[in-house]
Amino acid sequence: MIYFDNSSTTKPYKEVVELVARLMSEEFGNSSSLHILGIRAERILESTRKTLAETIKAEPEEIIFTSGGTESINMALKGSAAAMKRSGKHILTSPIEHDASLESLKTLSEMGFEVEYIEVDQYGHILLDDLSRKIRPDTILVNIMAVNNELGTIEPVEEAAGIIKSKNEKTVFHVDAVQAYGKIPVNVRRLNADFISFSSHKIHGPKGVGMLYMRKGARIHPLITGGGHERKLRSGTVNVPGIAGFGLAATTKISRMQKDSEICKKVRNRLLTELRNSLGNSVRVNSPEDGISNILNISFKGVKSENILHFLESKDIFVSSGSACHSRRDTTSHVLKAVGIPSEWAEGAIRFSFSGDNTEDQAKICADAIVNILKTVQKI
Amino acid sequence: MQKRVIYFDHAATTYVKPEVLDAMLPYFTQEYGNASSVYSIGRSNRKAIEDARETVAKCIGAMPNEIYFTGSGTEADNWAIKGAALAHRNKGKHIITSSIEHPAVLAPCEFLQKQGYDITYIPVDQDGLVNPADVDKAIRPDTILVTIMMANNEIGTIQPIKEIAQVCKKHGVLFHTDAVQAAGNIPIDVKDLGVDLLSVSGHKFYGPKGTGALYIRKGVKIESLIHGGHQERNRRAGTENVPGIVGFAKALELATQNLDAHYEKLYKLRERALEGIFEKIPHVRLNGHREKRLPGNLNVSFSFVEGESILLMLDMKGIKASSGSACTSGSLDPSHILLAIGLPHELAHGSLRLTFGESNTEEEVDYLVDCLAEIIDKLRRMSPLYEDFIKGEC
Repeated sequence: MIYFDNSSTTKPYKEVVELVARLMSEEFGNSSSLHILGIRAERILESTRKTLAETIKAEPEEIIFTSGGTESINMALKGSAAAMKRSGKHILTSPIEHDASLESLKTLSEMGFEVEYIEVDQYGHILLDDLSRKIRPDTILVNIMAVNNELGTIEPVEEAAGIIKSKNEKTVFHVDAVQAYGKIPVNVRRLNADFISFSSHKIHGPKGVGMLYMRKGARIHPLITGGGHERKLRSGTVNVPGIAGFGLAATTKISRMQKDSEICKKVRNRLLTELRNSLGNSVRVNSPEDGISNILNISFKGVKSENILHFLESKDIFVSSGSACHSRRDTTSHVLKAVGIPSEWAEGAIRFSFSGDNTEDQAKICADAIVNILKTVQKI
Repeated sequence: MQKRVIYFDHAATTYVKPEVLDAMLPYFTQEYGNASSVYSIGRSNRKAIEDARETVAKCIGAMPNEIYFTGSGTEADNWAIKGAALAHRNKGKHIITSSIEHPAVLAPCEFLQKQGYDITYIPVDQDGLVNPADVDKAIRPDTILVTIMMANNEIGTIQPIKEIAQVCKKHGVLFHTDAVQAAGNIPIDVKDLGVDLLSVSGHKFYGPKGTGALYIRKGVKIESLIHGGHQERNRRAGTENVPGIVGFAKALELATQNLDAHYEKLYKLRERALEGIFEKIPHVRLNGHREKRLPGNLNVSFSFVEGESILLMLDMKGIKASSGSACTSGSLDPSHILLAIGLPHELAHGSLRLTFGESNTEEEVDYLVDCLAEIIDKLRRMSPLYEDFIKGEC
């Protein structure tokens, strides 16, 4: 099997699975219980919080655990908008955000908030000038992802933070770092965001676990209440085994970050070179040159991405036509639309997303398979 | 030598059963795809989720398309209450609940109150029971939701859910029940009960933490709590926790298949503990209904002692118990539930919750009774209140 869909989800590391399994059956205490089983669970929870905080140079008390990236994003956007609503109703976002952001913002706009989009270039980079122009005294929230999930575009979030804070100190800045974490450094001291969302299963950790960084002093209304867990910000019995698995996955992934990135770059380059050599003008690269090394989005002329996807699957090669969250809809990706990719190309877009487990040989096999299907289709 | 650990805190959380873990593991190691992907790993994940949904539906007498997986029981409660309130706000803004609900129900109600909703708290009797007639009387033309728990987390009292549901139906008002403590301990049949919304949590019945489900009767409108991707038929976004969902369903299935034997076993342990405690320790009171209670729940109050001291001393003997719900264990206030059933503050402070589970034995219960008798005696001998009381009696 060749798995080139690591931006949808990843295979949990073996040690992570072992840890989660052991904690589920042995260290099962409720971290709120006062007896020793509870205290042991709480110790695991707090040491994991510290570990994860360190990976982004945050303080442990700035970390809130959630059920996933989507919950973190919902909480950050809806929760900070609710907390800030007296200061204004204007929200800025990039148009190429994940649905977790866009749908949360849609509910906010239905509640009377004004959501405006920041312009992006042909690769999805937000235009900092446009951001600067659009920030108003009543702008309460700006939302920009660190890395786009479909194109791999790295957004200038640090520069954006500088602009936002210099224009309006009170404006809250949320960064969706679900695709960035473990792939490129995320450092809260340099990034200067108020909220940052993270997900475990994108970095070889368990599904159903996420975290939200909340800058000390930032204000938020909780999404889920009752029980007062996570300093009253996110209630519900804490999923200690899952969180511990996330912690181990994160430290493992970050320790391999450089190496994984080099592997991904080689695999990516090899795939691209092979495809370009054989297909020439029938290939269009949608991802930016300076994008993240583990994502490559390419369009093929004259063939629908669904067909490529199913053909590759028959060869035991797994890719995606966009984000997994979209794949049950027929509409073209909002990201490709927003960056202005012509529809005849957008229809044939494939996202390859790599991990440190992939090899150049796999890239060659995959490229050959694609060349094969394209030649067959073009003959017909 | 490893210290003996006896766990009598199953209402706080349970361990994951080996069979449940075995069911989950393949979805960690082999079938790790994203269930929303269109290719085969994604499809096999999708099938695992749909099979799990069918299993859960069967366990509670629902249709598969009425089951929605969540990240916890608390999320399911929040979703049901806030979602229903938001969806029906044009009809009215009045919500009815009881005075002994879990914080996962009370907190969303308080949140809604701040948003301009009107909340009525129905009182309970000395056993913790809600009278359906009180619900009937409290319903107004602008009532949009009634939320009353199926079984109480501290005192174990089981509410007359079917009767309350009938009252709600008569008035055309939505009815939600928090069945987090009931699931896996007593039978649940949503159609027989007649409820519209019902919440459950995986880690209370030997399933994984971080999993829950909300039953939404077909046709019932509620707004979503978590927006984004199109998972859970557009109603709950977020990449599905496939291993968690599989484990949740497996645990509920095992619990349901084994319900009679489970009930019998826990009931016997509970009765043995109850008889032992009442025989060996004077000035003790049972909290909650004598019969209408969860089989594994025992909640008692000891006069002249602090619950926290009992807990600490039990812990030193290897016995893990609780003074109330784990969720409020950091708080110094006495339990709102014990106060609601009419306990004076000092007695509420001296309460102990013991919740039995499948791995407990009669021998452990006997050890507990002996330890408790010794601990209570010791604590009372240090208590000036007890000294005064004894002097008064003489």
